[in-house]
This record gives sequence, structure tokens and C-alpha cells, in this order.
Amino acid sequence: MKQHENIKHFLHSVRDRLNKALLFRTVQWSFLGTGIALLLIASVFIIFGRAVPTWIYFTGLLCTAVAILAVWAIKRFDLAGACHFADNFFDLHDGVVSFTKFESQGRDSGFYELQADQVEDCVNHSDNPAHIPLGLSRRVCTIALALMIAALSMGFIDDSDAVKERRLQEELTLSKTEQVNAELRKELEDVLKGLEKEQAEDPDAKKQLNDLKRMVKELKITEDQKKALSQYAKLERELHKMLNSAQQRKDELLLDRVGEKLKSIRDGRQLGNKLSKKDYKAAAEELKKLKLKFDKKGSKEEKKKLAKLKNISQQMAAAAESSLSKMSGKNNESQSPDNISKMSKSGKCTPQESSSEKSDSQKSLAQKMAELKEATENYKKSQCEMGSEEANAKMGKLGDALSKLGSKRLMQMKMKSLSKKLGQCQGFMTGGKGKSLAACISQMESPDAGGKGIGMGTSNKTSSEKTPDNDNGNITSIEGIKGDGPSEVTTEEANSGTGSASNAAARRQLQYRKQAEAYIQRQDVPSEVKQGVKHYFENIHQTEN
Amino acid sequence: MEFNTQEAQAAAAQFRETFNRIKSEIQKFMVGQEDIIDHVMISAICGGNVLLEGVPGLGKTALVHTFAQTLSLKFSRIQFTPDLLPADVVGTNILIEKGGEKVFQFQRGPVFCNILLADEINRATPKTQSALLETMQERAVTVAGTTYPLDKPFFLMATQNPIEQDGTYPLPEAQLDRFFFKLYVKLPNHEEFSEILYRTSGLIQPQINQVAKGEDILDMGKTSCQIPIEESIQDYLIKAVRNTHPENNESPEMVKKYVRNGASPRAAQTILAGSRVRALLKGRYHVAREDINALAVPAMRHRLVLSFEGEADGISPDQIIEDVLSKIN
Repeated sequence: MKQHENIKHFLHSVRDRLNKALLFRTVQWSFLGTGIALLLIASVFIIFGRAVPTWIYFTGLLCTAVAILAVWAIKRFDLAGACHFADNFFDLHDGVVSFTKFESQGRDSGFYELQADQVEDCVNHSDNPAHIPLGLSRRVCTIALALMIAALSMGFIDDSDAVKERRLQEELTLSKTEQVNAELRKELEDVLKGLEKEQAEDPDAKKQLNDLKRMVKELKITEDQKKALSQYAKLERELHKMLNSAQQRKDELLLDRVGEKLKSIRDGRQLGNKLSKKDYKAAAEELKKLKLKFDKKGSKEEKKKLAKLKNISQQMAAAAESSLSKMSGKNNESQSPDNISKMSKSGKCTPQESSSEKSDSQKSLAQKMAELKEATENYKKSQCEMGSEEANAKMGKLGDALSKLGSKRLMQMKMKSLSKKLGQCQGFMTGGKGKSLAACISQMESPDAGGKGIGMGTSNKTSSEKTPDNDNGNITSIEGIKGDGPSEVTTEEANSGTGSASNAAARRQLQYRKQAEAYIQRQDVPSEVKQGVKHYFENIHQTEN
Repeated sequence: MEFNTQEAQAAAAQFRETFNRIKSEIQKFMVGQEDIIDHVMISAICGGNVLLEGVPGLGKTALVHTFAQTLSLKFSRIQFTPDLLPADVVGTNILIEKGGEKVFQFQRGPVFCNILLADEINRATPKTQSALLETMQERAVTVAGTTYPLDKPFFLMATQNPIEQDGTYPLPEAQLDRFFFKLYVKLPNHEEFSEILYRTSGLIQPQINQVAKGEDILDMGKTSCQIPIEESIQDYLIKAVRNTHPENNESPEMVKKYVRNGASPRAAQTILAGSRVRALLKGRYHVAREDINALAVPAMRHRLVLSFEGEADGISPDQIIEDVLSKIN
């Protein structure tokens, strides 16, 4: 049995040559594809002003290597493929394919042997397998090489100035947000530590503090300045909600007026002073001192105490009535403390009471004062133990209300410091280039040292002296008369206590505040201007208080 | 019986020698038409029947007649006409007196020969045409319940005229399928024309000699049967035939659009048998794709039934077969 080694050798040579050609072609086209892809990617980077990252080149080359290996693995020629190719390429008329199959089936006699001999003869006389073209194109290779060189050379182009600046800004923002977040967390911790136990346990305050804690915890470190400012603005809005409780302001206004009234009488001067100073806790303590003790004999001291209490309660009730009527309108007599106390006794309720919760809570302080006055008068008339207890109870309730208000005020003060810190941090975010957060904060806290900072640029200092200029002939000096020119700011003044406030005015104020907040939250408004507007409104509140 | 190597070599040599001898003898008279001669001889070796189509005067009848002369075989010719009856073709029982008794005796028709020329076969009625079905396939004739086998070798060569279609009866598909090849006889070129005139118009006519016997043809058939075909090439052949069917998913769009019925398995048998002969003639001992490609058209062109669109668009079966072959993977 003949082995026909020549055919096998020939087939192996053809297969090796074909695989070599496949590899060369794959490499050639892969490099062309990679060159085009890298050039396009690099062009995109350059157009956007950025340097081409080195990893792109490494990835491109890695992908090329993987593609070459994948193509090699998938399309690699085996002996059967080589047989078909050899038959077609060397014009062997399916001789090699037939021989291979017949041989594998063990058919080697008769016409099969003749066939094998014939194929071997053809193979011996056929062209050398080394003449199978490798399929390399000089043009394709040149283009691929040129593209690769062009793409690689683009890798040496550095970032544009704008990109560098933006990247620097992003890094700065990242660092700033990290600092600011840490500072705000620290400040919040300080605020929480400074709160009294009863403040912390108040359900409303607790909820607000929890919200605040969550918001501060959720503050993100970001390189996007817009995002950073947006999250601080959101936090600021929450703080403002907490700070600007209308009810509390009105209560404080009421107590201010009561304090002023009490200062005018000798018995209530001490209490009045404390109320005017907004030291509500001390005022509550002062009120406790007036606690009555029932004495059947009616000691002189107790009578004196009762008279003092009566006097104070009358003055308080009168001041409260006056204040309340100013706030809600004089024509609405049904809301006077007397009427309130009468209605509370009879169990009736005004429509306003049922419709407005704010109005109800607002009345409660005045109502407590009216009830104290009534209880004191009743006790004086009846001189019974029950009367004494009732008066003490009413006084206790008023004292508790004052104490609670004092706690709230303290918490507000703390929140205000947090708000201030937040404002400073925002200033640091928007400006303060090259300065540390501490430097920015200290600069804002002491505005006289080196300027007031962004949004703080108003000063009452004026220069009365004119700076002398050396006249070189080009200077034209125009001098106007002070107070004679047009001004965008019009100041209107009214006598204290002569105007009348109403709910409509309160609503309008709320409207203005919303407009101002919306303005502050706008992204397109420069933060310096926002700061200015914010401080303007803060100043208004301070004046109001 | 399978040949050993020496026998195979000798048989193959004998095959080529005989073939070339017959062909040379035919070419003494026939000018050009080499493909037609080859295909007619391949068909005869494989025991098949041939349908020759061409305009009158191209030498169809002369070819068949010459081929019969070279083999010294019994040759019959039937000129098909509309009034021809089946009995005129296959024979009939006639009443004769034998030993004082009148008995029926079968009178053999012209089909009882080795080479039958059915000239202008489409002029006979379908009934008469059908009388040849058994002859073509079973190589036998059955009359009045008695079957009479034909002599071997037997092959039928029919001719038909593509023009003058009035009063003709197109062959039914069943009969067409029994033809090994359908060959188109083309008009000779200028040189061939000149040679035809030279050979046929002089005083001396070419003398056709008997160069082979009927047995030689049968032996050639046996030799060709042993030529091996590799599986992938056989798959190629099967695909070529299957893809002529419009219901086959792999068939080209042209087939799906223009073909109503594709080629039968008999077409595949025909192509394989013809390819083996062709391989031997080309000096090979295996069947190659090129053999299949070369014989697919004459073997399948009469087996495809075109759809209405195909007929309307003037598509020829040859175009469809070439499209099928070009689209096999």
C-alpha cells in the first residue's frame, strides 16, 4: 500500500502557507482598522481640547492583538480547507479532496489507487505551495502605517489651556466641597452639642434637627460646582424654613410690646426688662417668683404679692390686647383677649379660630395672659384657695410658654450660626480662590480686615474729603449736590407704632420672601449677587426683630 | 465485479481507446458538433436516451445513423406523424395459419433494434408517444399481456423541431424525464459549413466503418460505473438537483420565481452516471465538480417545468440551472 507522502507533504505545505497568508492579511487589515479608529478617537479628543489618554493606545493595540488572535483561531485553515484550496488553486479538479477522503476510508485498490497515483503525479508537477500569494497589499500596509504614526503622534499633544483650567477648577471644587462638608458637619455637631436637653426632645425641633442632620450627611463631594452650590442652596432653604417661623416672630413681637408696657410700671419693670431683652427663660423664672400662697388670714405680704400680680397681669393683658388688635385689625373686636377668654369659657369658637391654626396659636400667648388676669381678679374677689390655685396654674402655663419660646429662640440662634457658616462656605465655594476655608471664614467674620467679601460690600463709611487730583488738563470734574440727584432707593419712614399691620401685609411679606428665595436659587444669577440679596433680607429680619 | 488496479487501468485505457475510435469514425462524417457527439456517446454508454432538438438540416438524423454504423448495431428509424399508431411502433399480433390452425403471432415493430431513431417525435399523438415509455425505461415491450424484452444495448434517439409547432404534441413530463440528455443542435460556424460542403458534395463520400460492437458499449458502461465519487462532491450534485425545486429553502430566488417543478432524482442519477464517463474521458479516476457542472445543463434542462412567470419572461431552463450551480456553497 502506497503512502503517497508527497500529497500529504504538499497539503501540509499548502496549509502552512495559507495560515501564514491569513495571519499577514489579518495583521494588515487589523492595523489599518486600528489606525483609523485611533485616529478618529484621537481627533475627537484633540477637537475637545483634551490630550489623548495613553490607555486608549494600549487598549487599541490590545484590541488589535485580540482581533488578530480571534480571526486566527476562527479562520485558521485545517487540512480539509487546504485540500479545497489546493484543488482550486492548482487546478487539481477535486483530486486532493477525493484522495484525502478515499484514503481516510481505507480505499486503496482499483480505481482508488489509480486516482491516488494520478493525484500524486499532479501534485509533483504542480507549482510550489510557496507561490501561494500572501495577500499583502503594499498600499494598505503603507496607509495603515501612516495612520498609526499619525494617531500616535497625536498622543503627544497636551491638554488645551481651557481644559487645564477646567480640570483645575474641578479639582478645586472637589477639594472645596470636601472641606465645606466637613466644616458643616462639624458645625452641626457643635450646634447639637450646644442644645439643651429639652430643646433636643421637643418633637418639632427633633424632626427639624433630624432632617437637617440627614441633609448634611447627604452632602456630596463633587467636582461639579453647579451641583455643589445647588446642594448647599437646598440646605440653606431648609435652614431658612427653620429660622423664619412667622408664629415665633409674632410671639416675640407681642412679648416685646408687653415688655415695653411692663417697664412703665414699677412692679413689672424687672419682668419687662427681661422680656425686652428677649431673655424669656429669665422672664419665666421671674414670673414664678410671683406664685401665690393661700393664706386664710390674708397676710400683708401675700396681699402685696397679689396686688403686684394683678397689676402685672392687667398690664400684660392690656399690652397683649393692644398688640393683637394691631396685628389683626382693630375692627375685629371678637379677637380681643377679653372676648377670647369669654369664648373659651362658653366653649364657643370664632370662625377664624377654626380656620387658621396659626392665628389660634398666635392667640394662645395673649389668651394665657388674659386668663391670668381673669384668674387674678377672681382670686382677689373670692379670696378662696381654689382661686389661688387657678391663678398659679395660669401663671405656670404662661411661664412654660415663655420658657419654650426661650428654648426655641436659643435653637434659632444656633441655627443662625449654622446658616451663617453655610453662607461663608458658599462664599468660599464661589470665590476665595487660593484661600483656605478658614481664611475665608475669618475674612467674612471680620469684614474690615481686607474687604468685606462677595455680597457684603456695603459700608456706611463715607469720605467727606475730596481726593485732590493733579489737573493735567484731561480731567473734568462734575460735582452734584448731595441728596438732589435721582436715586433708585427710596426711603420712607413712618412713626413707630402708628402704622397698622394686617394679614394681607403678612401674606405679601411671605410672597416677597418666596420671590427672594427663588431669585437666590436661580442658577444663572451670580453667587455674589445672591449673597447680597440674602444679606439684604437677613438685615431686614434683624431690624424687624 | 470490482476491478483490481491492473484491471482498472486496462479497462480505463480500453474505455478511452474505444470511445476515441468511435468518435473519430463519427467525425469522419459529422463536422463540428463535438459536444453533441460526446453527449450522445456518454448517453449511449450509460444506456440512456437522447432528445435532440434543432432546426431541420443540422445533421441530427445523420449523427444517429452514423453512430449506429460505427457500432454495427441494428438501427431503426420511425418518422413520427400524427396518424402513427402505437402498434406501428411496438408491433402487433397478427393472425396467421400455422399447422392448419389460425394462431396469433406477434409481429415485432421497429423498436426491436439496438438504436432507434424517433424522428420528429412530437408530431405523433400522445398515445403513440406513450407507447415508447416502457421501451425507454424497461427496455421491453408488452403487447396483449406478453412482454418482449429488447436487445441490448438499446437506446433511443428522438429528434424534435423547435419551429413548425403547428400540429405537434409536446412531450409529456413523464416521457421527458426518461430522456438522459436533451441536446440542442446548433448551427455550424463558417469553417464547419465549408467542411460540410466539402465532405458531402463531392463524388467520394466518407466511408463509415464498424469500429466497435454493442458489447463494447456495455463494457464501457460497466467500467464507468466504478469511477468513485467523493462525498462532498456527491453532496454538491444533490444540492444542484434539490436547489432546482422552488419549495427548497436553499433554492435561489430565480428558481422560486420561475420554476414550477424541479428536477427529479432521475436527473441526479443521470448526472452522476454521465460525470463518471466524462471523468474517465478527461483522464481522471474520480468525479469532479466540473463534470457535474458540465452535464447538469443537458441533464436537467428538459426536467424543469417553468412557471407562468418564467414562460412569460422568456427565461430558459439553462439560465436557471447555471444560476443554481453558481449559488451552491
